[in-house]
Amino acid sequence: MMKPVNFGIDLGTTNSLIAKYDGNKVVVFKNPVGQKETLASVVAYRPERILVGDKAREYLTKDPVNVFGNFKRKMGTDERYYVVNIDDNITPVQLSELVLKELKNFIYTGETPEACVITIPASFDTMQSNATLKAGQAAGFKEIFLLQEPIAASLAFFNQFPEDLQKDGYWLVYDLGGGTFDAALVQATDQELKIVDHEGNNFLGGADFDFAIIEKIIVPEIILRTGIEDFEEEFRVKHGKYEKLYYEILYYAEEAKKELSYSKSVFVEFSAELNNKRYEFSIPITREKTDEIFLPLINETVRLVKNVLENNRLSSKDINQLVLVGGSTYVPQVREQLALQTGIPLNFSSDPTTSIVAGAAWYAANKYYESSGQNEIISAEAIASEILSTVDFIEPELHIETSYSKSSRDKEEVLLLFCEGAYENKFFRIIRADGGFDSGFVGLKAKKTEFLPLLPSVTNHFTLSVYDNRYEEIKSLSREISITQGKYTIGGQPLPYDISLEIDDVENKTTKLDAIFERNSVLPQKRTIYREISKTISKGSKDAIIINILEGDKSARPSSNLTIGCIEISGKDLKTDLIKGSDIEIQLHITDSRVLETSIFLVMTQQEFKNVFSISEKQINLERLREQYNLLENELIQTIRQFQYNENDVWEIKANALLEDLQSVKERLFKLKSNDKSDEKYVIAEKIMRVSQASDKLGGNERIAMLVEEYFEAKERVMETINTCDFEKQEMLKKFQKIEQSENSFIRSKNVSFIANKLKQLDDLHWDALCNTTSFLISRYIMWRELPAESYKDYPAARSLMKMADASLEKEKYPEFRRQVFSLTHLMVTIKDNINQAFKGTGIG
Amino acid sequence: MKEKGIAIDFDRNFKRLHNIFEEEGYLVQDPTGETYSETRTDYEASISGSIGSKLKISRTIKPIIYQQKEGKVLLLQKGVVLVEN
Repeated sequence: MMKPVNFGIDLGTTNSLIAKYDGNKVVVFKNPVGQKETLASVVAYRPERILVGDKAREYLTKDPVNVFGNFKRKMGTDERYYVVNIDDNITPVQLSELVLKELKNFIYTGETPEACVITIPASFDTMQSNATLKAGQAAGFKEIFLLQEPIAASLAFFNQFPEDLQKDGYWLVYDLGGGTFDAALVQATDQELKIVDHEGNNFLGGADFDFAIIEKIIVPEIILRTGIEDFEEEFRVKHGKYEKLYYEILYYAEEAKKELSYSKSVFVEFSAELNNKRYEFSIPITREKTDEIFLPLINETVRLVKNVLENNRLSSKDINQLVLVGGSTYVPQVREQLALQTGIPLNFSSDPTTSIVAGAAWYAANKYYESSGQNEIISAEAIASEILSTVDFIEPELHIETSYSKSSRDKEEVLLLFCEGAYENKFFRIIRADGGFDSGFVGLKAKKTEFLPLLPSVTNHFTLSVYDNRYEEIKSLSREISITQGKYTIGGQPLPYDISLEIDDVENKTTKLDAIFERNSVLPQKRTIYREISKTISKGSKDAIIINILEGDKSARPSSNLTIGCIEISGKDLKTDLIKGSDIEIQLHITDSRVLETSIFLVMTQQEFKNVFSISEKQINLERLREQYNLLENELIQTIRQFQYNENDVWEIKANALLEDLQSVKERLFKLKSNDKSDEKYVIAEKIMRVSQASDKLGGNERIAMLVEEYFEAKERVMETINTCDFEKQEMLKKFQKIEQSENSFIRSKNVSFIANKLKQLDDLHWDALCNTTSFLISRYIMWRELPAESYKDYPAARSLMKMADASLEKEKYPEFRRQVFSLTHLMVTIKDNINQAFKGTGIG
Repeated sequence: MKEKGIAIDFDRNFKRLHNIFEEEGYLVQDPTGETYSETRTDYEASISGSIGSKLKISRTIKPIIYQQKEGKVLLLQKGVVLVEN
């Protein structure tokens, strides 16, 4: 069966990329480690492991006997690299093979390509081309097509261009990369591209621009400031005393170059200790200056471009456009000089980094190969082995056992690997899912340890993969490793409940919990949170803000939690008025022995309040307790009504019993004086908490399931209504998405009041959406117009509004009509819920 | 006067900014002083001096930034560090 190749690889001197043609576009795959599109073409043989990519590059200048880059230039030669660490010789082909295999790991779609297109420089000879083919075959590709880089760049360029563009004729591809320069003359005829001629310099690229900035601007400035005459000499010495400064400046020079692509001037700022004296440098670099120092480098490229033209007896006029490729073509001076000196129109519509690999993928889309059909069989096998591997990790000849702690408080955790059977010449590799850790290829031994670094307070996911001596993955042996940091450990003391702060939910005239420390966090814990004051408190008044710290389930209502700390700051404590919206800083520290320390800072009055509670001592604010009582009573009454409506007798009886139980403390609670010395208020608080918890458990899982079902039904209904509403659709959608986003967390909470609260939010949103639907407004309006006079607070005003609404309706002026109907509703007599009217809350929003 | 106010509160304000980023799920790490590890792919290191003996991160030019989003952790910015022995 013939299949399109589709996969393209840019096997570069400094960086490599892989892409796939997918339907009508090209997808460039990203490195699962670090999410970059590029892979550094560097291989490092470290004492215990083999690193491929960016990490290997770090050793490039330091350990040249074991780390290899730029091997592309040596392809096709009989050059052998002796690797000290493995005491063996390797060839450029073997190194390229490793890079190609690493690129295959980028393919997240799970495909194992059998064929691919690999790009090569236009100047590659047959030997070099064959060597590239060999590396591809060794990397597991059955069929390989080679493509010249300038053609790839042209393909990427032409394929993204509008049909009507005149493509026929000569084009010049100007490729100025990180380390190399290529100029290629391309001839386009009837859908075919051909490289006519080519010139290049393998030692001219972006890095040379950076060196120029250091050499011509930064170093002279340092000498001028410090008077150290031999600085330049010393600065260039390998392993010299300024080596650290050299790398730092190199980084800044590159950043400055990039920034100068879009600004006129930049400052390079750094501090350094030179001859035992500390200097602060702030060196201005202007575009003018860099233009001057880059000119000789750019002139060299222009000379090569002109050579190509002369050699082919062409003039600038014969060239359609000069297509710019490669990261260094971002430099403005490059563009200016090319336009000025060649007179050829420039085109920089190609993405300099990815255009070569994109071109390779375009080319691959039109190349076909005879598929062995093994892909399908392999994938079936893979599935089978996957099933097997979940049962037991046994390969006939190799058995690997892992041992590690599933949770840790340390910054890293040790993983032990025990191998039995044929583990020799096999490798393992561990990658952390976020891309922050990669062990590289490490040889398997009977017993092997690897340190896994952990990110704090999250579950760290790692993948352990096993490779054979050809670095081909043995899929059946791979497995996932998860280690949770900080949250749970046998050694540490976990927090048994969530600890939350009670804050106001002004919209619903109630309070809610804001989790500070979550259950199972390991003690001690410290956190600072910032909130706003939700009501103005004047200096000297009795009004107060209440910082209520609770323990329990964070998704439950506050009354079902236990108060473990309470600080009241009243108007009498204030130096000045505390205005609504000003900030409050709450710092909480809970020690190993669960002593809670609180420090409150009011930003507006610059006052600090400190308090230390030990949890055995309860702190209760009577007024807040009464409010909690009211809220709970109200909620229970609502629940009973709901059960009655659903004809759920059993639950109704239970809810009634709870209500009675709660009401038994009502009288005592409201008679209690705030200076009461008895423990009465604690008894009542306990009762409220118990009823509240029991009320959440009413109906058990069945009720939760019902609520969840109701929620999803409501969600569908709301979505439908929003889709058909005529006004403020976008805002409604935003609110809807906000509810939807928290969906997972509240369904998982399995907490009745939490889910019910979300359901109510949906209902409110549904009502809002209806009120923004013209047809609904009309039907309502017709109903309301017929209401008797006593239904309105001011009937004559209502009548005149109705007249206006009638007129708007007749003229189909719906926005006006909507406003009028809204005004009308304000004139209607409504029976309000009195219970929540005087809501005072905690004063923290 | 106003400037003075900012200066006095600089520490508090700075901590607050840091806190806002943390609340948003950003985890900022400064690896200065840690032992250099070739398996840590969350920073790019320039190594000065000779390798072999224990290498330490002596300076962080750019911190490492992780982002926690929907229960997943993502490496947002690789650190840029200098390593010395």
